[in-house]
Amino acid sequence: MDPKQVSAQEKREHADPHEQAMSIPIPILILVALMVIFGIFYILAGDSSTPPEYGDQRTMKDLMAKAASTSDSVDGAAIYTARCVACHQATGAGLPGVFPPLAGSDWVAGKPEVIAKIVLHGVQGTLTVNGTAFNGAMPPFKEQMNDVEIAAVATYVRKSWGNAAPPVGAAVVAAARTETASRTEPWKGDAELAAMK
Amino acid sequence: MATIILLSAFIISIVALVFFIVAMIRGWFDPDSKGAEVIFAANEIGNPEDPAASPEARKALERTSPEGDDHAPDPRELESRAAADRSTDTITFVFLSCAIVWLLAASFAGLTASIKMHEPDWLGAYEWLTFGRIRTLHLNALAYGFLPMAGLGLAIWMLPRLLKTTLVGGQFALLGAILWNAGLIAGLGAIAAGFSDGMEWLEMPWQVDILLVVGGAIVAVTLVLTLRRRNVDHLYVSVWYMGAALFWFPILFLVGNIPGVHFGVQQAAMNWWYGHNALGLFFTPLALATIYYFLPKVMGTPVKSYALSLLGFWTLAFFYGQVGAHHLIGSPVPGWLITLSIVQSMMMVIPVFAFSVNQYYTMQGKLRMLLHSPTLRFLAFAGLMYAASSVQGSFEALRAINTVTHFTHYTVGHAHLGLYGFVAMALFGGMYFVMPRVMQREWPYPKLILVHFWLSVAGIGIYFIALTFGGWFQGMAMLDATRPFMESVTLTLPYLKGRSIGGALMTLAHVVFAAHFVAMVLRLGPARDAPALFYVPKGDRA
Ligand code: HEC
Ligand code: HEM
Repeated sequence: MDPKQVSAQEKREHADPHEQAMSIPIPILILVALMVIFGIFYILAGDSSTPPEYGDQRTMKDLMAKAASTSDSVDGAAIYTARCVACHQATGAGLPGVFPPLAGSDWVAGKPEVIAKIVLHGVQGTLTVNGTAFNGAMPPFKEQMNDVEIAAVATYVRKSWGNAAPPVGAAVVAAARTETASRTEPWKGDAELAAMK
Repeated sequence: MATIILLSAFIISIVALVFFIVAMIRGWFDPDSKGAEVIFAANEIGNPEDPAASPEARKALERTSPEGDDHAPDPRELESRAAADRSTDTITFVFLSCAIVWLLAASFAGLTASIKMHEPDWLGAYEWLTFGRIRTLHLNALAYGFLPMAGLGLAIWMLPRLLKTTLVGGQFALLGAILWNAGLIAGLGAIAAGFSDGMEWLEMPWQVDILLVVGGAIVAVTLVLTLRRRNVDHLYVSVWYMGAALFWFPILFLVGNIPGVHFGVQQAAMNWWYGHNALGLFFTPLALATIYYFLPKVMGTPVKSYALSLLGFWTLAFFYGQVGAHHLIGSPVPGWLITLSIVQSMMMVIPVFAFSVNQYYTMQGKLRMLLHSPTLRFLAFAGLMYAASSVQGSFEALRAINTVTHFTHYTVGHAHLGLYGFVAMALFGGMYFVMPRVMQREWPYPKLILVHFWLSVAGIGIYFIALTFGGWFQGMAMLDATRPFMESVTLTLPYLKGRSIGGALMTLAHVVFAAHFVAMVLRLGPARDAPALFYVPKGDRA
């Protein structure tokens, strides 16, 4: 097309825009001043001398507080759903011949340190539950859960589906953990556990 | 100690910035101190634009434009304008056509990703359609497809007009566009096949990035050559923003993608330095340049305050580069970096207000024009969303709010308010103005522009509201240790479905836009001789 030809669209336009020289309105200047003052205060208030590895503004105290929380704030039912339900089932009845029941089990209702030790290290080999022998493998949980969490799930198991055993304290789990600290493999079924009952 | 150093650095840099801006306003740096006054155009030409060239509609427009500037067009200016347009029309056409293709592809990818969030099994059998890939495809097709193609296409078109010259080295821009698109296709293919650098915004493999860097640099060559041939003494604000965007982007993209340099925490800090600068120093300036040009252009009013333009530009340039770490609040990054990023995020309200007030003065008394002009409607909406999303973002950076919103859908709502409500809408507005000049033909179906506008506005409205509420509730649920984590996931489901509805409307809007674009290019539909207007006032209807 002829470069000199001006199309209808181009003809009807306004001039290209330009700027006038109005000065900056006072409210904007006030805004700028306020923002700078805010910045100074935020910097003064915002600093923490804690090491950055803890995460922004987090102190050792915040991190410790989490670890020391009591079993009240940890939800045993939620842990059971997340960690145990796949094998022992939501009803606690297990699967006949494969996974033993927790409902009515004498292992569950017995001494609190027994269930703590089972959950800490898992079980392998023949295990008799309520007179029926099982021969499966339960994984250890000592790496995945802390004492408070194991206590919470054990407490939950001991008071659900008709079980009515007293709660398990985190201290019991901690003691069991220290006592068996050197253990690297699961309990060998009845062979090792029967004596503890 | 860290506080003292940070505080003094902050204060010193602010003082320097204030001094610099005052110097620019007063013209202390200009050799002949003509400063701000040179900017007036010699002649005001032309008649009210977007609203009707047909006599009736023009009358209508003049009534809404109080000054009713009805100057006889200066033939020399018209000729230079036509020459500028002829030198860019092929190249702009190529860029904008690519933009349309990427817009469509990206919209469908986004919609697919959105539906998958509440129907996770849908289309699960195809690896490239799994969420991790289709979301990434969506983001990359927009961030490196639609947005830069549309933004650069408009920049290339505006620049010769603003410099009163013709485009120099157009063939470079064309070559750059080809390389860029080739790189993007390769990059998207790699992502679909499962190759990714694993950092958000930087997913495309670095080997492919080379094509984008070279392509982008070649496009910049054209602009530098054109700048050197300018016939004006004063550079209009849009030129500052476009020039800066083109200068900043290749640097950002290159640093972000150099392999084997950044590791660990440092890599995360670099990732978000890049991510936020791509938004703030590339997309934002391109969209602001578009608004700064077309809004006064269509309204026929000059931008009121050169000083405000300067304040807005330099504060944006200064603050934006330091805000990236607000994406890492709570992470093991040095505390001073986070604090600084939060402070500078809040400081961003300064350029936002400077821009908004300047636009407000431009539109003052002429708001009725919004009823008539499609370009204006998109641009005014975009300008409002710029203010809204920026102020939202400033507050989102404060630690108290960020602990709730971080890692939730709230962030995604904010991202779309900014990138869609502001950037994409501004680019749509610009494209509606430019295409009739490029094609020398009017939009065949003005009603479709109206449909596009309202579908987009309704879509982004639903999208934003759904995710803002859903995301906030999600954040509160995650902070509450007594509620199981899964609750924070399931409670978002209704809001995610809402997002899919909003997204479907936006996608539909883009289909309408694309169809209209194709009809125009193929010269289908009625050949109209009046510009596309929404309404011709009653008394003036034929
Ligand atoms: C991978 C499947 C699996 C998981 C997960 C599992 N267990 Fe077990 N559990 C078993 C098996 C199998 C046995 C029987 C071991 C054997 O036969 O030697 C068992 C035995 C037990 C016993 C002793 C037998 C009984 O029925 O009373 C208790 C108590 C127990 N599990 C509690 C738990 C608790 C609490 C959890 C969750 C923290 C859990 N288990 C998770 C498979 C599992
Ligand atoms: C031009 C228009 C659009 C732009 C510029 C855009 C931009 C973006 C950006 C920047 C992100 C990353 C957000 C983040 O994670 O912080 C994103 C993600 C996403 N977008 Fe869009 N988008 C657009 C349109 C759409 C549309 C039409 C839909 C359809 C529903 C959509 C759906 C999504 C989804 C589902 C995600 C993923 C969110 C997540 O990971 O949780 N987008 N988009």
